[in-house]
Amino acid sequence: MMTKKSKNHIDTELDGLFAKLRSEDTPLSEDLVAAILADAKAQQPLQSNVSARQQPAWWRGIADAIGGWRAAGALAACTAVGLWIGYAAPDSLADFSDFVFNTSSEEPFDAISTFDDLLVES
Amino acid sequence: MNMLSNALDDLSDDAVLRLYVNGDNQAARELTLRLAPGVLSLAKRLLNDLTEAEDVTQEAMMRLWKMAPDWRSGEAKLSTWLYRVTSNLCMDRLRRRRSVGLDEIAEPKDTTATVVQTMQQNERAKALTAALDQLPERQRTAVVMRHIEGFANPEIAEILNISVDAVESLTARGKRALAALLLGQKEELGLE
Repeated sequence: MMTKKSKNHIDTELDGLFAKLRSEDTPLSEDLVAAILADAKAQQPLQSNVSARQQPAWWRGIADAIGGWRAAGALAACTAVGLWIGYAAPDSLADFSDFVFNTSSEEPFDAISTFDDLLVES
Repeated sequence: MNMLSNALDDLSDDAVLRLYVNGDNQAARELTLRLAPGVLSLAKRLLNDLTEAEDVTQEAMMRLWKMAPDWRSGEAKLSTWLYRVTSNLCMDRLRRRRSVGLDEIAEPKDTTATVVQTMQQNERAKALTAALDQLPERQRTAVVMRHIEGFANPEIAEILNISVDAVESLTARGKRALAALLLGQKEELGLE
């Protein structure tokens, strides 16, 4: 029969022994790591020579070239607006361009001849 | 290793596993270095045999690689799943050990003889290890996880697929059994 005193003592002893076992490390051997990695390679569904995390996506390269994703976003928005104006320009915009360039909607604006005129005048 | 490993440091285990599935050649190393030490430590303490523990570690990691394409992120912790595999593999081995006939097993260590010489703490630790060997598999697993590996009771419950109450019961009974086994050798161990 375990007395209360001996029970307390053995509990304290056990806690100390558990702590001692906890502090004993079992390091991975290089051989074990090599064996695990060989298994991993054999089981890997897709394999590449580089880290997938390091492979830049195609769109990331383009975005970086033009100044990052914010610039790429702004450029994409401007392109969309330009296309929209080109194909579905409101009448008021045509009137505005007529006013600026002194043309009419029926007469397409010829930027090159206008530039020639400027050269002749100078 | 370096920069690539460092680049993986801030990713969760689940995310690194996805990279592995997608062909990343550093992800397997990263997962191995993160998870295998804990697996080996648990297996070593459950089996009390380094060679067997290394076999279990390799087998558990193999199951991880095989399961990787089907892993569903967020449903469970990867480490919990791996510890469950590990504890099951260890318990299978412990059961096989006990089912082996007495004539077939190696000469058992004379723990009494060892203990007689021991007054040192490390010898008492050996006596504890020998006492752990005598516990039923589930008690031993729960005690090792709780008191040596330092898992919380809810995590042990998840790993062993039992309730937290059952974990508390297993660890309490296991600890009482260990105390009784050590008290049986109290004179040899210098215990009061």
